[in-house]
Amino acid sequence: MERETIEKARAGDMGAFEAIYREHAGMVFGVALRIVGRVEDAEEVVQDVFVSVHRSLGHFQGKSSFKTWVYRIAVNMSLNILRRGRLARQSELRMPEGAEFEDGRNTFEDRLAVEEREVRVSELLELLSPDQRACMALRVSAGLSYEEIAQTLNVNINTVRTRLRRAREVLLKARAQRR
Amino acid sequence: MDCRKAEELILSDYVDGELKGELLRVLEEHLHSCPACQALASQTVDLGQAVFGGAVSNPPERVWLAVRERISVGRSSLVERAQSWLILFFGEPRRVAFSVTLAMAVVVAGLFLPGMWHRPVAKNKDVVTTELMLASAGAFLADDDDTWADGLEYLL
Ligand SMILES: [Zn+2]
Repeated sequence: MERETIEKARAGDMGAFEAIYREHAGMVFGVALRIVGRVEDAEEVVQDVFVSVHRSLGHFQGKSSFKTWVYRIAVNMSLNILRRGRLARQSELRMPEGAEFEDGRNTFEDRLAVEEREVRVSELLELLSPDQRACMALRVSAGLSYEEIAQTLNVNINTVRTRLRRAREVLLKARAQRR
Repeated sequence: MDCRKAEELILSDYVDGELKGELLRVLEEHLHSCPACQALASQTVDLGQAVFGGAVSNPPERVWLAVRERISVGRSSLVERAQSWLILFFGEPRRVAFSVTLAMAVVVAGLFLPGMWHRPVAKNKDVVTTELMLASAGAFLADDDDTWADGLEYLL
């Protein structure tokens, strides 16, 4: 994200802020979705994140990258919603209907296959701790490096490494048991 | 390199492209001669992609409209404002909740306790009010399930 755009948005230019939103909203949505597991919740996270980003632009000092800064807010808000949601309903996780797997396949069989996959994905997601989900989402969905994940989550690189390894062990084990 | 060490590297640095130099060379050598580790590497990548990968879709347009609405109307409540500031500076919800409660307790004590010396008649009422406020502020902290945002909302 260009400094100039950030400066303009900071000065109240709504067009510049919209450009920031358009550039980052998809990735924030993707990461949030993998952490909270429900489309409605992920949409709420995106909304809260960008209202918060707008309000806090004046405090962004450029010490971390803008991307890392936005992701940090996104992860914190996602974890928050996840905790709140777990309380309300004993975590009935659902992956998106259509949103993620919309690929033009419309026959009943295709639809069924997509739904089966969604259920499988949510079941696997649910096996992971929120921290593991956050790490995997930042790594696989957002494509951040270990260094960037460590900065985003404010933990050291070895913690990132361990969380990713544990998450994958859990996923591999679950898949092996299913077979 | 033995399979145990190889597995450890495969499950993190290798599939994430973080492995460099000599270690990468040694691991790749192992992979060439070990079908089991080779299979593990491809399974790990596939499974990660299946659960966390896939196309990135943008959120529906109504999300942007809602963001714009909230910004322009300036509907941001005091709680929302405090929430985003705190998340920005501290990150950790529970730690923030504790600090906020402590700060509130100090403010409340500062407001009510001095009054006790000059207004003996109102003494009991003030003490009760202070105690009640402190107790209720602590209540949400003691309850591990409450989020700090709920706590904040409650306090403010
Ligand atoms: Zn091997």
